[in-house]
Amino acid sequence: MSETKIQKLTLVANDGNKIEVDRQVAEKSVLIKNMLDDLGDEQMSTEVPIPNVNDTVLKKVIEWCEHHKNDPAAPQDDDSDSRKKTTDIDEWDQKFMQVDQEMLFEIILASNYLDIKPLLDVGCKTVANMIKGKSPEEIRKTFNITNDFTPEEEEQIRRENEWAEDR
Amino acid sequence: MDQLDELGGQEHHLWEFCDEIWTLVLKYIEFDDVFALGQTCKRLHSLLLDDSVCEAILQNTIPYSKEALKARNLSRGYASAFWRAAKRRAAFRAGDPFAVVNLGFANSFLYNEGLLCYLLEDRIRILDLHSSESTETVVNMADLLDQKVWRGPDQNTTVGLTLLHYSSGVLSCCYKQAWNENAWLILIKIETGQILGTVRLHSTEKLFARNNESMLYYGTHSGKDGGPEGHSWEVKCFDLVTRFSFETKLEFFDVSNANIGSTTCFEIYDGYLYAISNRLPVTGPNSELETEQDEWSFYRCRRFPTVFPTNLFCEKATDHITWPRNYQWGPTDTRRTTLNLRKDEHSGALKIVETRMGWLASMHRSQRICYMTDLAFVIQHGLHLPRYPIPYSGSALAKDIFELKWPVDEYFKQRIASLDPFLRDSRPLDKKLREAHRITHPETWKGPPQEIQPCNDQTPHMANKFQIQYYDSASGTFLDIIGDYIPTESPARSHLHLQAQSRRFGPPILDREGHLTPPSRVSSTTLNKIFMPSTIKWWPEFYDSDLDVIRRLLNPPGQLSDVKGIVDERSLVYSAGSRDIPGALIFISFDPAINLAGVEPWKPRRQSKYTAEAYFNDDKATKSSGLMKPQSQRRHDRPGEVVVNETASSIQQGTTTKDMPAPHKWCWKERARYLDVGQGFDFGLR
Repeated sequence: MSETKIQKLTLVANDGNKIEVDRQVAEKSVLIKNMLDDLGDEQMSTEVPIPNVNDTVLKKVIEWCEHHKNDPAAPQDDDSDSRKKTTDIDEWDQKFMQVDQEMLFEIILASNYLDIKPLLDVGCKTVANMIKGKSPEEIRKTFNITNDFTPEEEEQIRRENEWAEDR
Repeated sequence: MDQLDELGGQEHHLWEFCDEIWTLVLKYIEFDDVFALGQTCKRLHSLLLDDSVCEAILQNTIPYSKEALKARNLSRGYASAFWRAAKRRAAFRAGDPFAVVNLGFANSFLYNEGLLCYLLEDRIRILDLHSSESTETVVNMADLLDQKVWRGPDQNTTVGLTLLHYSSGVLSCCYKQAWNENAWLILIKIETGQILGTVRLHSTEKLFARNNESMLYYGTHSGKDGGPEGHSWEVKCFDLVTRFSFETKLEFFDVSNANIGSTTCFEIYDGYLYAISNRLPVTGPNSELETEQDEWSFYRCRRFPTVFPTNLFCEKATDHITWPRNYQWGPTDTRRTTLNLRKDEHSGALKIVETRMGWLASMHRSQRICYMTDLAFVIQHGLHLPRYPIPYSGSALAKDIFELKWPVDEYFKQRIASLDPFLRDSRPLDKKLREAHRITHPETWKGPPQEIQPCNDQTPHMANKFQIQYYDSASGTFLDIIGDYIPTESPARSHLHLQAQSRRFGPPILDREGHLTPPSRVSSTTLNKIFMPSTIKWWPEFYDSDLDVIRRLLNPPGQLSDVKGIVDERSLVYSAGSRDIPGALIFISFDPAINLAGVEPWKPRRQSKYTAEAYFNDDKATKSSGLMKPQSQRRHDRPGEVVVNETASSIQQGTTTKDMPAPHKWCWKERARYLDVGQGFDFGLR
């Protein structure tokens, strides 16, 4: 094992494009950080393949990691009510998330794969904000969802009797 | 997108998220948003049929709802619980019930915990409506009390019997002899057919009773310590386990308002007896404001641990400032004030829920507004650990915290002055009031916006038409029974119908650049931005002759001069009739899981606004539907339909049901009267 820690990593997107990033930035991903811990710096001095993420999305994710590289670690499993607040997204993140829906979904999937919880949180909050306060029809319109219910089925969902569990 | 395609990326859809991502998204949206999401397409609908997904949703959104608590207790049925709660809230919001049933006649009734107790002549009948029971327990009071006692010395005079409370299987009622004014509190354990106790009452003025499984508290507004505000409450306790009657009077000299449900509230929650009263501002043309405190309305809140019926263990709430109301802003209509204590479905916290008609000076009309205020109590004698942060602290308050007596007026003046910018303002009162004229109730609210809800029912003289009014805090709905006078009908009479006005959170507020902008303070404008606009809905809808049969059901024959009702979070019972004669008992259910036996499915279905053809052939709708059902629901074989015949046949043979441990000559079970009345409709799809 080398004495000095490597300071730069080369990430390879699924389309073969290579992106060099600072170690501190890359370590925002718990997946990469664990790889570094498990395999050691020598193994990681070569290229690190990120097979599930394409170049465009990877660059976007790295942009987020660059901006947040000095953020303190988020507390684990904080189930307090404040987590439900979707209005506390900081202004830079809000702007960062002003992308088309496809890119938003890609960022969420990539942050889930790379295990970048704060980015996943921001992505999910953004999706939640797009759902909040909308009728089923408005949600369909927002996310381009095809209504595959018949009118009878729609009514059934809203008005069918339920049967109590203990009877 | 094109770029993605070129790079070999594939298009992603909302429904393709894995469970982990969905769990996180669902964590950030409100319960009603989840319900809306489940109605968008079959894939997302099927997501909400999974017990583990629904368990997380319920835990995250409404963990203290009855549905969630029941599922957690059974460790199953989370999907059914989710849909039950969702449909219940939607039905409330739309004022669109699942069933309306005529339950029979009654001289008087009470409805608590889903159990209906009604008195008809000399019999008290108890029917569990939330459990859709088809049998009811009957207590023959004449047999129970002996005919001599019941009829009086001359065998003609009937006694006055008042139903007071039913909870934890214990019925409390007041027996009063008309010929000598003697009165007793009678406590009956219905399940075992025992009389737990009788207590001689020295007064029946505003008599109330509240109990849990071990202790019963009863009180009258007859104390002499009410000071300038008149009588005070005297509350005593009866131990239901040892059958010991405590003589100690609990002191509520500062909770002095006399009208329970309107200006005062007594409730038992989680081992505490709570007493709350709304101190109204000083009003009236001749009233002089002696202190600034007189201009403000606030709550007085006390509680006792039910197991320690002594004044030593009294605790007071820490925060009782509610909303400012100055008499110069116009009168408040105290006839329409309601005051209740409810448990919040989301947080489990107790909230004071008050609705009030207030004059809006700037708009020349009155408006009904609901205020919800969290209760926060302080630690006292090491008995209680607060579940929620206490908003105020400091050495000055520490002294108040451990005082057992209610603080003096000076305390209030200081507290109000420290809290409210209006009073901190050192300008002359006139100038402050002129400014205050420009604002209305919502602007003066200092709590979070979700805890205040104005109602936009602007019909002239609306206040006179409310027969029953209720605010459902879970769905944010004002639900009322309105009596509209129809002068053209012969004889002219009032017609009762449901009126609902609700609101739900709207999409997040964005500024011009698309950034989220949480409102800093409440105003009419911000409330309109935060919440979706709602229209007032009537049921049955006017001008639909198909619904005449429902109108007749809601409006039994005869004059409807005496309408009384009790509403809970799932349903409503009201009696309508003329004074002094038995009135018809009408049950309206918003719960899709209350399925009373023998109630006829509604046909023809009304045309739905959203699905025009849906209601007309519900058999076809059910059979042809490709919809999946929650796993637990599929396991059931429509039990409600089977119960009808079995139960009915056994009762018709004159047998008592197996539920009754020991038959008593004065207490038995029999077929519920609504089965014989046979008037009702089920509006749910089966």
